[in-house]
Amino acid sequence: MYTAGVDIGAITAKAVIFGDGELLATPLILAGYDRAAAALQVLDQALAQAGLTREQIARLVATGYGRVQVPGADRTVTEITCHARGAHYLCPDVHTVIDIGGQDSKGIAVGAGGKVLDFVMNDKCAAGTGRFLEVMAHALEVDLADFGQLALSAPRRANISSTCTVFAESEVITHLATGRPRAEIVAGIHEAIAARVATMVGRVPVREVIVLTGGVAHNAGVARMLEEKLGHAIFVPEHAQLAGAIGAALIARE
Amino acid sequence: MQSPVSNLQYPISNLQSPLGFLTAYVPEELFHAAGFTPIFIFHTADAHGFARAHLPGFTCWVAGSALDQALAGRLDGLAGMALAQTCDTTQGLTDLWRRNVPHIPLFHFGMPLRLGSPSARAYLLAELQSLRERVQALAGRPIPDDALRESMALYNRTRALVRRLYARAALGDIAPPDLYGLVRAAFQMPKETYNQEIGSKMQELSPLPSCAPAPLLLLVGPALADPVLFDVIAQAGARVVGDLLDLGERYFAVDAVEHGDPLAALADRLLALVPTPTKHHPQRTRAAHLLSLVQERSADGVIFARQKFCEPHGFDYVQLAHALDQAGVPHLLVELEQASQAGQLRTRVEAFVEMLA
Repeated sequence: MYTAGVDIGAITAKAVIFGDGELLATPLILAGYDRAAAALQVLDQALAQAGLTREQIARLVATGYGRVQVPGADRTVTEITCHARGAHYLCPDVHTVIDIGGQDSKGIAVGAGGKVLDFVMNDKCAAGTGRFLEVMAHALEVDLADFGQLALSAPRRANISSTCTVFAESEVITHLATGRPRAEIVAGIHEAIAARVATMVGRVPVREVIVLTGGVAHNAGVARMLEEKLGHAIFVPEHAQLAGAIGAALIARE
Repeated sequence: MQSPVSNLQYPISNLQSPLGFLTAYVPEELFHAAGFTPIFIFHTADAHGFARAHLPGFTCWVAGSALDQALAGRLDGLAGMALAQTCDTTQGLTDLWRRNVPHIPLFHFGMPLRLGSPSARAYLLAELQSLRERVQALAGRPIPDDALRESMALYNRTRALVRRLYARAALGDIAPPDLYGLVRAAFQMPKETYNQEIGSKMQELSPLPSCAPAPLLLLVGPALADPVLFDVIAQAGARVVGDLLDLGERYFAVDAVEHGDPLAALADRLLALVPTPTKHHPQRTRAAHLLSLVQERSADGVIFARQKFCEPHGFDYVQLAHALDQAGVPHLLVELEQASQAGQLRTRVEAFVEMLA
């Protein structure tokens, strides 16, 4: 049986297809403003990668902020439940999931089988999200893909005290005006986001193994500084950004 | 099919001598017996911005919206406004109202803080007597004891009706938007009309299908939160089986005794209610009450629906969450804005319901 999971996030749309317990397709595209079109497009890409037709997909589960806009979904499930299931698939020993997406960040306590035991969520503020990193990378003219490594290369970190993206940008401008090296400012930005997420995640019991999911998992600087703040090692699986879609496709099998 | 609750609208202009109130301790019967129609001033999602000139940005939006509506002239039909002593914001609103809304006379009612103290009842009786005299002055006529007893009997019938609603809710047999639509109407409609109409409205509500596997929830929070929350809970597939909302089940739980000294009956009723977070009663702690509700209703979880910037409920949350953690009861905190953000609220509530299912 083939099942699909489609995760329409704030910035990206992801799809996966499972067949015989194997991940057959893992496309990712920008979600854009038309979420329904993005869902169809990313699902088409997944079908092409797997060499399947839509009719061969027995069940489709949609997740993410745009979950209700996915045409033809058999069921919608929140990204919190899906990330827990997906992270459990990627790392069966997981106890805590930290999901940092484009629009929000979450801490999830995970039990047996990937069941959610508790969760916390930051959903009203851009600080502590992928959008924060995007805004800062743009302001400092650094490619987002290089942002994390640049942070880790700095010998010192600038102090970014603000917990608001807009005010933090003002602080960055102040540091630039005083001639502070760019890498140190970037390191300070990463430390600020890590501190904010660590504080939030601390409200659920943080237990190893800790898995980082969501698009920000690609940023090594955030992962490293989160380890520092939490005092625990963090595991970043290969398909960290697809954890929600994977969880959706797994739930579709039930 | 449209819910029979959806058309319950009672604008101020349709009411006889409407008198607004805020807080969960205003003795409505006293105003009713003087010929007024007490109605709770619920917040509106839109804001004119007039209150911003008088209130700091971290003021809870129930108080802020009431002042804003008054300054915008939307409460001009009110014969008066009543507030009981509860939180700091309410205290501040009292002074602001007197200075800035002088055409709507304000009644401040001194509700004691420690409800179990030996002097609480005497203090409350003196406050009720003082309020009676001030209300009589506004009405231009005395409030006879018999009129007060009649009002108490009328309000007792309303309370009995609302308790019937909650009895259905306890069985998981009423959708959350219908339950809270009817509870909210008890604060907005003349009690005479409410008592006549609500029984038939209850009959019109079709029984819900069997509860299983819908998770059963309790709600905790200040006023009656935001109608959007109740829609989101219903759409997530959960049922509400009870609450500890300031204007919810606790408000209607105790009747006033209809014989003897009516002021004493009003005082005893207020003292017998489960306290809101700004009050304290050593024999009626909120944590013990919430835990007993969880057990009695077999609730699967608790949602704290807190208005942003409501400090008393913020401090209360810490104690209640700790008690629930100790008892192993899952809970979720949602912070409500003046204008609903249904999408983000939905994700949290749905995830909580998925967790409980």
